[in-house]
Amino acid sequence: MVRFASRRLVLGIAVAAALTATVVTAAYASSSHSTSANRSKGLTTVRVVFDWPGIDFEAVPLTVGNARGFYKKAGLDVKIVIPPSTSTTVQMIAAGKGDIGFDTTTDVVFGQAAGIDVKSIANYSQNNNWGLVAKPGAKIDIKKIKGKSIGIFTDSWTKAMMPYVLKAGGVSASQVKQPIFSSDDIAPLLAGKIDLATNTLNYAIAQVQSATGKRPSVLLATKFGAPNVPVWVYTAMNSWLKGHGSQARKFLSATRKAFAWSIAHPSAAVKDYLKAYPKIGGGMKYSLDGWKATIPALGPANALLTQRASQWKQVVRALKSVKLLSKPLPPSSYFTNAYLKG
Amino acid sequence: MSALLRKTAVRLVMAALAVGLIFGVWNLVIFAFDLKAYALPTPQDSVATIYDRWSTYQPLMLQTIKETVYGFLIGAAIGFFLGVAMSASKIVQRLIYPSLITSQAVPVVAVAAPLAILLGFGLVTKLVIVAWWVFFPVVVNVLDGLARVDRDLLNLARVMGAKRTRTFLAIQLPATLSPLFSGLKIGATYAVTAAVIGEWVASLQYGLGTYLNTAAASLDTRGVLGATILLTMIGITLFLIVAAMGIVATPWERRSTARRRTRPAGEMLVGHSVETPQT
Repeated sequence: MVRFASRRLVLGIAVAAALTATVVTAAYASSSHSTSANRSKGLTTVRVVFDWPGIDFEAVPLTVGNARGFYKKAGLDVKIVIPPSTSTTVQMIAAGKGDIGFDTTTDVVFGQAAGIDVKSIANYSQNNNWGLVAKPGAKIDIKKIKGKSIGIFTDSWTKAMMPYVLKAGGVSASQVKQPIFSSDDIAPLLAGKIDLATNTLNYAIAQVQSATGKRPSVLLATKFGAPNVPVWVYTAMNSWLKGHGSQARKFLSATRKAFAWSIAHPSAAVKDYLKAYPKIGGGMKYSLDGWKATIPALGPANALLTQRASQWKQVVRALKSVKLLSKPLPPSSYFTNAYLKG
Repeated sequence: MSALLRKTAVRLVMAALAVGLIFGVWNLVIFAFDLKAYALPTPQDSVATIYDRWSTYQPLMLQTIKETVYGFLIGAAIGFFLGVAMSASKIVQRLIYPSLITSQAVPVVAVAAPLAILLGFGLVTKLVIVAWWVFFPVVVNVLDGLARVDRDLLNLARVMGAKRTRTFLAIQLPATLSPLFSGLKIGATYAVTAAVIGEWVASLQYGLGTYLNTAAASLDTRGVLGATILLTMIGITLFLIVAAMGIVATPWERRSTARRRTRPAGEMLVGHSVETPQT
């Protein structure tokens, strides 16, 4: 009986092992399929790690680059990798789980401070589009924020920007209520639970417009003294850039063309994006509103993607002033425009 | 050394060994996969961070403990009363049980915004979320305990003319204690995670949960792990307190007879007539 039971056990283990081997082989074969297919097409896969654990309209230029053949012409096939959380993009490219990162500017600074040799290789946006948001029709008077309830997030950008809000309003942190949110402060704003929300305005506008059909009242932080620095950048590890400089150049060159095309043809660009992500892309109205609200932050056509040393000085200064950074590095440690040439 | 002291010492040594084992595996993973500090700092670094930043962590921890404990107590009370009510009436059970199961299948994050809008950004929202997670294992266990009460004992009480309340207090309530504490122990481990999620939904005050997000946003993995260790300690402490209360409340789980020193003469025949004293 015992022998029979142990024979059954051995047989069971053998079957389980065979099944596991089959599943693992199948999974490996399917994952390597696209790579080998791309090799046969002569394309090199570039993995871009997104900044958010869900795809949205900020991916429009990348999907347009694929859909309109800009990347193919450069010999690339760009794959977007979705990170598990909002703050893992830098860690993922450092761990080799992606080639290029789509990060906030502050992530690069914190990455360097944490000993990660990450570098910004291009701006995504050229301007600081973070600001205050109020319900449609409401007026935002920065001088009258005393006693108001202002929704904030836990991210470093908000922490760096809030002192400018308080300073412009002539109030201390204790003179305003600051409910902390992790995912969304627009719904509480529209429900009248907070007086003002803070957000990058492309997302705030898209959310409010898709919910109410009206444009929210907004006040850019740059209007009351916050530095006009880009929020998002494309990044890569120095170690990756050393061996893949030509890929980085080709990627940025094609991306610049994709940006220009997406700015000139917003509706068609969003359609391309939704074709790539039909189920999880966010819908035509929301995505188009969001992309149109993103365009003003991308800067003039002749300066697309180009970084300035001054923007890094300002970011570092803002982070140091709120004690999020103790040892600032020179701007050249954070960025390079070298891969935008050629 | 008395037997009790020796037993306690052995348990403490085993607990220390278990912690040592966890830290050992943690270090081994870092070494084996060559993980850098930005991905996973060592347990030594994480513990040192708690020491270095104690003045930052302390108020955050108190806030999270408050949310965890209050929410746990509310959830436990709701769970117990729902369990009793559902056991007393089949109609109530059939009416409520499906809703309770559904409530556990709903991801709390998905209803975060409506909850915050409905209940505000203060303590109440967090307490609701913690109670939401805690009450279910309590309901299920209490219900299970009441369903398994010895029918003969209930019939005996009925024959002897005991009223419903008396039957509940003398027979049914003691029968629910063991399963109740099983449910409470599960709830205690859930409570701290629920408090963190509650803080993520919306908060007027920073706790360890909101600190996790802030630290993660600035790639401060030592800060994240330090807060995580503290959260784990809160969960373990709450579990141990509940387990200790369970030991006190259910002595029959460990002994089938009352202690000789405390047993008055003649009580054995009255109070423990159905059990065989151990020798």
